[in-house]
Amino acid sequence: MIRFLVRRCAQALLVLLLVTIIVFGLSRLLPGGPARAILGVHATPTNIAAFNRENGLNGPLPAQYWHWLSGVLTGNLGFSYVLNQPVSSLLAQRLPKTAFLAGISVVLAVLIAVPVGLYQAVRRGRADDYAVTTVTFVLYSTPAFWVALLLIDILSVRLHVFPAEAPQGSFSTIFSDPSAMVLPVLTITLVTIAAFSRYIRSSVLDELAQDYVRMARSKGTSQPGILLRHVLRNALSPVVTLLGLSLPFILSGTLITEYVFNYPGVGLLAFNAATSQDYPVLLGVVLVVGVATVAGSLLADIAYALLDPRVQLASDAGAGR
Amino acid sequence: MRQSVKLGAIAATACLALLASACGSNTTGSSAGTSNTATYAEPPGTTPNYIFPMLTGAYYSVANIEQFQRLSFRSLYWIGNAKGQPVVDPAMSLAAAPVYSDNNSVVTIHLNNYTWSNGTPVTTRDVAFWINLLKVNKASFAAYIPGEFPDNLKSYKIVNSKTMVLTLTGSYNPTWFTYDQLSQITPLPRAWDKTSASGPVGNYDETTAGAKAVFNFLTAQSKDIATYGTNPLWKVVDGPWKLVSYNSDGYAKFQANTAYSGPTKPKLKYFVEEPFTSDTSELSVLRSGNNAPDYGYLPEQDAAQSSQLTSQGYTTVPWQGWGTTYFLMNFNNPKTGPLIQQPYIRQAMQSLIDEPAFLSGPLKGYGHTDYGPVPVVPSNPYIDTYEAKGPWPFSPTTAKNLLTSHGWTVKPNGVSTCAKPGTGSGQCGKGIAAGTGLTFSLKYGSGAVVVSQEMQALKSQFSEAGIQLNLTSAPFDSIISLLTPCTPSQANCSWQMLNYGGGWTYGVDPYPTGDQLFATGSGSNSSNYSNAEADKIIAATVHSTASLTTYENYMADEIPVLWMPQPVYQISEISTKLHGVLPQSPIESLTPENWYFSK
Repeated sequence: MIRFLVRRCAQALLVLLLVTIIVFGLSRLLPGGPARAILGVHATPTNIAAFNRENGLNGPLPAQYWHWLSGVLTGNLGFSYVLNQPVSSLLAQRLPKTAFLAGISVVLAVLIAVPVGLYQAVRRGRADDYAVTTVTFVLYSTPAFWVALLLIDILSVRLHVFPAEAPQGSFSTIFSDPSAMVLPVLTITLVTIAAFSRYIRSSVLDELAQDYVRMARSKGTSQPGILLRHVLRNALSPVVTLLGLSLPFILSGTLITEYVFNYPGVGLLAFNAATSQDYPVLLGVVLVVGVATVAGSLLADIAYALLDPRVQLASDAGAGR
Repeated sequence: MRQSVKLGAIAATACLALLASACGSNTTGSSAGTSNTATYAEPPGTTPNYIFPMLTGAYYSVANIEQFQRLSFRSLYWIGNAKGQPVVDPAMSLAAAPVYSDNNSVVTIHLNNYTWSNGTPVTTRDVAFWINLLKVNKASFAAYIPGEFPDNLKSYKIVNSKTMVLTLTGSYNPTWFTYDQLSQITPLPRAWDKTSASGPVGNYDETTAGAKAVFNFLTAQSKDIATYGTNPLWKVVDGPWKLVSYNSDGYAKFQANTAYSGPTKPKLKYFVEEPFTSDTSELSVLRSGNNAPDYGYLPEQDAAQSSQLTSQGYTTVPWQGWGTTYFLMNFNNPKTGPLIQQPYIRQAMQSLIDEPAFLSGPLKGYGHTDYGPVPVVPSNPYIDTYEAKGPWPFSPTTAKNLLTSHGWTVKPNGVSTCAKPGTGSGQCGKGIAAGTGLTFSLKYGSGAVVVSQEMQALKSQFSEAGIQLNLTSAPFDSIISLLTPCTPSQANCSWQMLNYGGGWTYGVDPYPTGDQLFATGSGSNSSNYSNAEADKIIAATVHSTASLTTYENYMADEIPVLWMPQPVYQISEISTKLHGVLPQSPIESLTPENWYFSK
């Protein structure tokens, strides 16, 4: 297990390094350059040269990259010349907000998707299966942006049930006004349920056809017992993998939600950094998201092995040969 | 079947639990503003993030200066009077009208009786503090223009705590000097004359090394935005508001400065600036009425929703800024430069721009026609009727006549060509060969619907006189990267026409002389326009008491850029319960000390 973890971590580092090099290179291909974008249309060549000098943007690209990387290695992610803040400080403020939004939404989505998927599998081919399938497909194919606007229009503008914007201010304000988080959470939950429930449904159907299910039935185990004690555990394995790898998807979902509900999280931070050519922030977010994605993948592998004893981690399998 | 029902119940319970947990508090439509707090919506990308008034170009914005710093730190001369005109408001200024003498080369400034919130008076030493810091750190101040303040200041003398005399390097137009130079001065409190947070206050600004150290200290403090709400430096204010809370995403809460010594004491206890991540989110909040800003805005693409917001308790008020809109023609392009250098071709092109149609169409009525460098709106004492009416209003017939009378064969919906080359009367002009076509490439910024619609209409309008526009769109950053003065041989001079969707805002230079725009070689003369007569006229507006009339009318005739309608700065949505907001400042500043709520 330890050898496996070490090898995966080394791979992760390599992947992260490559990702940052690619993002660094691509960001420098953006037209215009940050100096003009930030100083405005009437900035003189002297102003632009001074800005580039002050922000270390006048050296060769490899030197600029090395400067950034060496800063990262010492814990310094750089300084946003657009937002006038250290990148680490920005991430510290925005990341908890996004993590909370994404985390609670995904947990809710799974909590709903599991019984829904299970129910559909049991009712396969019947009218209610088709009905639920239709609803989930509609949700799956509806853009998060549209879902958010619909929820606002109905629950906020017309019915005045929930606020149209997320809590403002620091992270702690979320807990002082939880009702303001309902619509953002509901938006991500609704568009995420469908993917999870479809996986659960097909996974449960696969499991229901297995010999051990017939064996359990023949031994007189009740249907709920079979489903909850035997089938569900095995059917959840692919969902765990899906969860681990869905981080980028969830983050892109939060971007839309942050945009619509005035919730300044890390997704929007990355988007704005890209459009304003705020390189330090862009690279900082890429690094953090990259780490989270790789970690998510790693955790999914480990969880998969723990959930399903038939699966062995590569190193263990290798050792057993 | 029973099992299925059970499973269905599980799913239903989960859904209900979600909703039940969510219904923490029912809300009703109401404004965010309580009787003592007013909230202003900050559009995306306009959040304040720099508090020290001597700021670099990266932070030089309306959001930082006019809508953030000025709430606490007042300028020597306040632009924007009670009628919403872009003129000095004596009542709001820290000093009485300056007195010019010695052929307008000496300025005497007398301060009014203002005090800092720590009880000390605002004195000439505070003005000198600003000047001393600026002299040493001018390259780091965004509004600094070589040759202008403080370069044009020979010396200053403090006569007493309220009076000081500035000796200039030459004669200057008093209006220009007051508006475009003195109004940039922000007296700084003595409490800031220190080089470290724990160090003593001194006269460090009086030496070069000291002024540098103080500037670096204050700049570093201004880069520590997490401390904005608590740093004792920023608590010493001479304005009506004191920052008490600031969040890194731009959320700012100001408390009324009870020691404010200006003419209008705040009636509200708090003023809040609330940042929005998108126009969509801001409009949703206005529509819902729940915790909605008292002073918001209607995104221009959603202008049709004005009536809905009216029913929500808002009044729609266009906010016209003090600026001019235009797009650029490159006078130095090796191919089309000779065409652009002919005034009659520029005048023909201006005659093909249907500004009233743009106003009623893409701009949905939110803007004003603009035919020269001095804006018509907001009302101001400078605009002349000749420029206001426009010497070259929309008239395809005029455009065609201009071309044919200069030797062109006009082909509507085709390409007009030069039939009579040469520099004589009735001929095409210098550098234009026979058969040359009137074809131009025009690059405009993508992403702005209004600009895109205007450019498509323009293509059609230009074709009426056989002027072919080849339109391409590109990202805004790509467009503005080309805005650098160039010579014909330089690679970056290949652009022919550019429209980034803006123009010039007279913020730094509220007296609209255009010395930075159209004078030969000036820093912001991106179209490379050069005209000796124009230079002479512009210089007169800066150095003599010549009025702006000659300048503005000359430029309206000259068409150094193609004038376009001036859109509003913002379509404001103001709660009907909030009063005292109007008129909105022409330089886009906020004065919530005038605001109050009705029951």
